[in-house]
Amino acid sequence: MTEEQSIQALHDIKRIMEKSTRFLSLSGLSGVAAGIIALAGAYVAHLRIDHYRALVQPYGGDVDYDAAVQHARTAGRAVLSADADIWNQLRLELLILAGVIVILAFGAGFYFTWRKANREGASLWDATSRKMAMNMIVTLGSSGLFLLGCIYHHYDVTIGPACLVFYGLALINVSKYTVRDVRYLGLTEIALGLINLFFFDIVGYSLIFWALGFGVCHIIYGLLMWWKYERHPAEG
Amino acid sequence: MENPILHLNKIFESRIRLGVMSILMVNEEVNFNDLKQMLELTDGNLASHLNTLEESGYLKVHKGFIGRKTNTTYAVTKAGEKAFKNHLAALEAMIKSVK
Repeated sequence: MTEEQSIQALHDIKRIMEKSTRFLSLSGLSGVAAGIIALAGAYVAHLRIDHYRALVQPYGGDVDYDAAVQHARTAGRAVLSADADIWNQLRLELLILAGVIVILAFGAGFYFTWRKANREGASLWDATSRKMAMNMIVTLGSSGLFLLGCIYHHYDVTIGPACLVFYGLALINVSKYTVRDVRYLGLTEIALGLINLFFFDIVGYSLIFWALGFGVCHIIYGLLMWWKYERHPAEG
Repeated sequence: MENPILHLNKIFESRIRLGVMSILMVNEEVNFNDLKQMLELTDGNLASHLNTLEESGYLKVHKGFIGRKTNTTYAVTKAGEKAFKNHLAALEAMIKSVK
C-alpha cells in the first residue's frame, strides 16, 4: 500500500461514514420557499383576524371567546351565541389556513430537495433520508396531536409559542441526520417560542413571532445554506 | 524503524470491506439492501465480502423477516470495532511516517 492509496482509503472512509449517517441533499431553497409561504400565510391570517376583530367590535372588540362572554356579562346583556360563533369561525379558518400552509411549505421543501438530490445523483429515499423522515414524523406528529389537543381544550394562547418550540425541537432532533446548521435554526425557533410565551396578547403578538420564526428565520437560514453549500455545486 | 505497514489489517485491504466497516462504525444496524445501495454493489459481490467479515468475527449478523421477505441486518462486533480502529491508526501512522 502506498501513501496515496492510504490517503485515498481514509478519504473513502470519511466520505462513506458521512454519507451513511447524514442526508446532505436538503436544499437551502426549500427553506426560502417555506419561509415565503409562511409569510404569505401569516399575512392572510392577519387580514382574517382584523376582519373578525371588526365583526366583534359591537361585542367589546375582543376576539377571545372568554373575553367576549365577560364583556357581555359586564355590559349586563345576555351572552349572544354570536360571541362564540365568531370566535369559533375564526379558529376554524386559522386552523384550515395553517393546514394549507404546512402542506404547501412541505411540498415546496420536498420539491427543491428532490431537485437537488437529482442533480447530485443522490437517492432521495435511502436509508439515511428514511431515518431522517422517521425522526421528523415522530416529533412533528406528536407535537401536532398535542396542539390539536390544545385547540380542543381552548388553550389558545399556548398554540403559537408551542408551534415554534416543538418545531425547534424537531429540527434539533433531525439535525443529527443532516447538515449540522439545522441545529441553529432549531435553537432560534425555540428561543422565539419561549419569548412569545411571555409576551403575547391573544392573537396579535403570536402572529408576529410566528411570521418571524417560520417566515423570516426560514428565509435567512435557507439563503445562508444555499450560499454555503449550493452556490458552487462542484465543491459539494 | 518499525515497518509502517505491520499493523495494517489484511481483511480491510478490500475497498468494499473497508466501506462496509465505515458504514457499520457509525450506524447501529444496517440491512443488506441499504448496504448494497450505499456502496453501489451487486448482491453476490457484497455477500461474499460480508461473509469474509463475518468469518473474521468482525460482524454480527441477524437474520429476520419483514412479513415474508428476509431482512438480514449487520452490526459491528467489539472485535471488529477494535480491529478497524487499529487499522485506521496504522494508516494514519503510515502517512505521517512518509511525510
